[in-house]
Formats: sequence, C-alpha cells, structure tokens
Amino acid sequence: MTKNGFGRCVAAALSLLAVGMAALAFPRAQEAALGTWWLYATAWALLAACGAACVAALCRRRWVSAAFHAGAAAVVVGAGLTAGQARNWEIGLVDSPIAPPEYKTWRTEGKPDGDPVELVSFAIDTYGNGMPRQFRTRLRFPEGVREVSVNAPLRRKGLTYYQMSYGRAWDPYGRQVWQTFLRVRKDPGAPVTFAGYGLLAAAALAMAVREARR
Amino acid sequence: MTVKTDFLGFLLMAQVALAALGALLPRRWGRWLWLAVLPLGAAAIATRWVAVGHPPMRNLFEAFLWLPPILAAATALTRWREGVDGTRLDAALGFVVAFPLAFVFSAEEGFLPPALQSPLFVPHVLGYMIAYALMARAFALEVAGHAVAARRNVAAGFFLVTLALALGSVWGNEAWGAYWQWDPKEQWSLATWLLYAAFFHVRDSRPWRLAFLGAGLAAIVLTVTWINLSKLFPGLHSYAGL
Repeated sequence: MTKNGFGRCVAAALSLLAVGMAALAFPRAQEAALGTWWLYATAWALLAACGAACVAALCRRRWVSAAFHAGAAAVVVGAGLTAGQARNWEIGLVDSPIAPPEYKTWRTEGKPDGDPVELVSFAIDTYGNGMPRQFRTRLRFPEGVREVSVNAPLRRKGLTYYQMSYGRAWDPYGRQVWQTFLRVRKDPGAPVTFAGYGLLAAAALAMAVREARR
Repeated sequence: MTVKTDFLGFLLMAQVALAALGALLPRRWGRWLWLAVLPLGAAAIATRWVAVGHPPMRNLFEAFLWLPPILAAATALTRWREGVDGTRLDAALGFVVAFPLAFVFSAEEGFLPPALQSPLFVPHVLGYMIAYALMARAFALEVAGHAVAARRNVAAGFFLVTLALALGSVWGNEAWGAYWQWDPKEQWSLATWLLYAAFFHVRDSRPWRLAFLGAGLAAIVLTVTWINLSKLFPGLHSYAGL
C-alpha cells in the first residue's frame, strides 16, 4: 500500500470513530453501547494503533508525530484505568445540630483510609437576586476541619471530595434543613490521561509552529 | 427574532452592516469596512463584560460575540503573514455569525452559576471560539485555492481545539468529579477533533482535504447548534444554550 493510501485508510478509520462517538450522544445508543465487549475492543485497537504509530514515528525520528501518538495512547490507557479502577461514593449529609450522627457522618466500607468524615456546616452564597453564587461544605476529619466547594475539590489521602449539589431534607422533628451532596472519588487513571493531554497539546503546538514556519 | 435597541444592539447591527459591505463591495473599500469590525467587536465585548460583570462567555450569545472580531483579526493577520486577502470570505463568515447575534439570540443577562466560576472558564471557551473561527476560515480558504493559508489556519485551530478539549476535561474533573462524563457536547467535540486528526493523514490530496475540512466544519456547526440547543441531548452543558 502506498503512503497516501495508508494515510487515507487511517483517516477513514478515524472518521468511523468520529461517527461512532457522535452517535453515542443519543441516550439509547449510549445505554446499548457502554460496557459492551466491542467498545473495549475498539479501545484496545485504538491503543494498538497509537502505539504502533508512535514506534514507527520514533524509528523514523519524527519526534512530533511520536509525541502526538504517545499522547493519544496515554489518554486511552488513562481511560482504561479509569473505567476499571476508579471508585465513586455519592454521599448526602444533613446540616442540622439535632440530626442523628448517622445523618451527619460518613464512613464508607472499603474506603482506603476508613477515617470518619463529619459535616460541620453547609452554606450557600447568593447573588442579589437569590441565585446561588457558590455553595460550600465544611467537613471535620481526624486532623481538623477542611472546606470543599464547587470547582475547589478537597484532596486527601488519595481521595478527592467534590461539592456536587444541595437540597432540602427533614430532621427528626420534621423541620426543613439543608442537605449537601458530595462525591468522593478515587481515580488512578486521571493523572495518566492528563499526561496524555499534555503530550497531545505540546505536539499539536509543535505542528502549528512548524506549519507557520514552512 | 430579537432586535436589540440598546448600545450593544447598535454595535451588533453595525457589525452586521460592515460584514455585509465587506463581502459585497470591491476589496479596496470592503477591506477597511470589514476591519472596522475589530474595534466595534471589541467594544461590544467590553460593553457586555461591564454589564454582566464577568467575561461574556456564559451562553451562545456571549460566546458568539467574540467571533466577528476574531475573524477580522485573522483577516489582517493572513494578509500580513501570507499575502492572501481573505476579506470577502471572512466578511461573509462574519455576517453569518453577526446576524444571529444582532437579530436572533436573546441578550438576556445572567449571573455565572458556581460550576462556571473557574480559572479554566475563559481559556476553555475562548480557545474553542478562536479554533472554530480558524477552522471555518481554513475550509473557505481551501475552497478558494489558498492551500498554504488553509493549512496554517487548520494547524493553529487544531492546537486550540486540542487545548480547549483538554482544559475542558481537566475542568470537568475539578467541577464534576470526572474528566469524561459521556456528555453529548463532550462526545461531539471529540468527534470533531477526530475528524481534524484525520485531516492530518490526508494532507497531500486536495479532494480529501476539502472533504475533511468540510466534515469538520459541519461537525462544529452541529455541535454549536443541534447538540447545544436540542432537547434530545440533555447534558452538563445545558447552560451554554440560548
């Protein structure tokens, strides 16, 4: 196969991948596809293709192409690690001084550190029209009190605490109180994926600079 | 149809008129009229920024505000760097984005929700806006036969799309606790990226280049309109609509 012919085959394969990715935006298609063997097979094929392209580029001393394909391979490896290893805990804690302890504390089975987490307070900052500007939860850990808010997650002992949302709940006396919803996550794939992003972006920048100088 | 009768509306309608004149008049006059969109567009962005109190990128109206001045700046840059006068092409593209700004999109003001209050907000949105403008120009330049200018635009646009996609993913990881959530807009942005990645494998053939630049642009238009606005695709980017 000629060089151009091979390039067109790769482009056609990438187009098929793009069409598949776009089709997965439909909720029904997504439900049917996620977790299937062929989705994993596609990821493995993509990893093999990126790895082979990276090695071929290294052999021909095409460093930018090698970095780009290594970045793409790292993103696929990170996604695989996330799919297989990441763990999520969704928790809701009630902000009331008279709520029973089990409403205010959290200790998930299988959590790596097993430390208790207790809600200290939950607060909502608002704009003048009452729309929420930010919401924040203060949590007590064995070592002290720390805060988590939207876009400012709390990282501790390999776990990350995210402020997700809030709602109304009722305390044992039937009074309305705030309930804060947090996500706690452990994702060993994220750093690998982010390293891949770095390589991809650096290689794309090198491509743009090379094109501008040509 | 939403006609804006305030100062911002005047700036937007002036941009529509200048873009139309830039596309229709002889280049000697049209160029200067079209380049006047640059200060007018900057003034429109500044006006909106002062009015809402945050970088105007919260919804489609605010994001589109950036496109006409970006296109005008790109016209000047391409003329200086490549010696290619893309006035008519860019002014026509500018008209296509300025018209809905002035006459279709709602300019209702709103506060930034907590999820959008991140240092990654501006680079993520602005990266996409510049990239989309460059990709649209790349297709138009390729159609017009300016292959070198088209390739430079698409290379710069591809870097920005890559960067914006990565920053969006990092931001999603900070705000929502996952860097990939199978959100329709994420998926279509990745599909668009894949089409432009495919372009770099067929750079030696003009019909293939045209096909991939056209497909990429179609994917961008569908992502910004259909995926963004349709009720078929509820997702985490729902605040980015009209």
